[in-house]
Amino acid sequence: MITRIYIDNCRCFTNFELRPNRVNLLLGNNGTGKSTFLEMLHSIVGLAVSGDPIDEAFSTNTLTRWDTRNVQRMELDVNGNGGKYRYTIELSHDVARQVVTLLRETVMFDSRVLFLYEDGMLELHKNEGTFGTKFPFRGTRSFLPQLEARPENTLLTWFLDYLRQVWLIKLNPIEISGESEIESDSLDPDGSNFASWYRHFSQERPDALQPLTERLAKVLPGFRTLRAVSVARAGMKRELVAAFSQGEAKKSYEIFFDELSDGERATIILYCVLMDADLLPKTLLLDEPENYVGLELIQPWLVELKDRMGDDGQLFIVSHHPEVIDYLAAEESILFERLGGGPTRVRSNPFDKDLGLRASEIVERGLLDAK
Amino acid sequence: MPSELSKFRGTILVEDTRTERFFRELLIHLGFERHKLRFRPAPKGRGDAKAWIRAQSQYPLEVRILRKKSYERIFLITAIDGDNNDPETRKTQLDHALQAEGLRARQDEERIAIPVPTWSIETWLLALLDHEVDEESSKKNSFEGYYPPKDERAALREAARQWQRKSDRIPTVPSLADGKSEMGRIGV
Repeated sequence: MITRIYIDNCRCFTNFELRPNRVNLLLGNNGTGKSTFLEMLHSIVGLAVSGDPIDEAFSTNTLTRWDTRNVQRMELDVNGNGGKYRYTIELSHDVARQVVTLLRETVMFDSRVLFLYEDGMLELHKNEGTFGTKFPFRGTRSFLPQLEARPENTLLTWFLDYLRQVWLIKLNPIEISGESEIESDSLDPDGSNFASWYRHFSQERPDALQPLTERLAKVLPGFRTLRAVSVARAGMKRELVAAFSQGEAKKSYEIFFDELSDGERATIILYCVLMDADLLPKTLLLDEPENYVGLELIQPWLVELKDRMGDDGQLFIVSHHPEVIDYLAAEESILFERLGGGPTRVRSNPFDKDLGLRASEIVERGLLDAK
Repeated sequence: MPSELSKFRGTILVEDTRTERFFRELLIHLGFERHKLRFRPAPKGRGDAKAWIRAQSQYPLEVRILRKKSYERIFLITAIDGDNNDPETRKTQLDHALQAEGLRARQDEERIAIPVPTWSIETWLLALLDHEVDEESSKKNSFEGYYPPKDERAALREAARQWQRKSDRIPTVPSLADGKSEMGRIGV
């Protein structure tokens, strides 16, 4: 579980620290940094697991505008595998040349160094922290995605496997396609590669398809199946097709996934994510997932997501929706604020129950506890 | 074949997430449909959760809705901690909350259950899980001693499974017997 995130000199975050719980509702006005926080967290993870070039994930534009320093620092603490990990990155920006350089990157486990990049040299250490190997490396991206799993680095590979299950989901129905050329073991934040991921999911989780169908049948009237079919003479290309039934005779018909409504496609994706959540414990960064989902479906989906994520999953959810706020405010609410337009600061559980109002009403009326 | 209970829609007002999780496990175990349950937990923060439940826009509002739709298959559960009071004290307070809003007190035939665990839900959970408990003191902290967070979900599920069993703990936890009787109001 992520226990601490520290971000300094990046967008609206200056010396920013957040210590999350298992379920975290991120609240706050527009522009206070909620979605940016999710993106930053996803970008930090992306450096370590996707090999994203540093200047794409953290361009010079991400420097805090009112801060004159040119170094950014990010830290991510994770409890797991019987200990405490800390992943740290420091980036140096040459603003005039628009160049970003990796100054330092470390992974520690219980204060032991597992991985260290500094001054153009990379050190790999063994599980017990003893020195393994050292070689020059160019700091335009992290070496971690290239790391080969070996018996002597199981602690480090556990951490990278953990980070691979940190998913940002910010669906954009316009981008969601029902066509797929290849399988993918991860879902893009906007859902654009859903068809590719669904091919992987349906292969890897055949046991999940029946319960998935049962749930979708309850929330999408007439839903029967979703399957990837070959497109004639198009090689590996597949197209998602949904089958429905209608009328008392339950006459069945098929419809291309792309022909479904925005809400239907978003609902299908969210329920697929839900069914996948118990296989590999995930850290889900959800940015307004309810945007395209029917009001009546929001709480049942959240309830089941919390259940299926189990004890090893973690949830960060940004929402302005009353149904989400009212339900999740009983867990841990984190209010994002920017006093006087300054850096983002956070406060926990700013609700006064004695007002007798639902959490969303307290937010709506501006009656959150004053700082 | 779906049970008769699966046709009901229900609203469940609760003080905290553990109570919510227990009643969710219980209701699903008993045959209610997951998608037809709406939980209204008190927000986490300062103040009194019992006062929040009694407030105009919580219990009285839900009772008003239930009465307007009394011909439909809907029910209301208001799970509220008893602390060191007996269940009747809390039920009376909730009746007063209705009367303060110009509503009549809860009627026998209404599908409104008010389960009131003495002290908190942990008293019932430990009793259902066959621990030796009484109602002399709060069991809120001792529950986590028996069931740390990683075991909580399984414990709540097991407690829900034990709901209909004739518990040996009933004599020392009378609020549990009262709670079972309350749940009878919604057909359980």
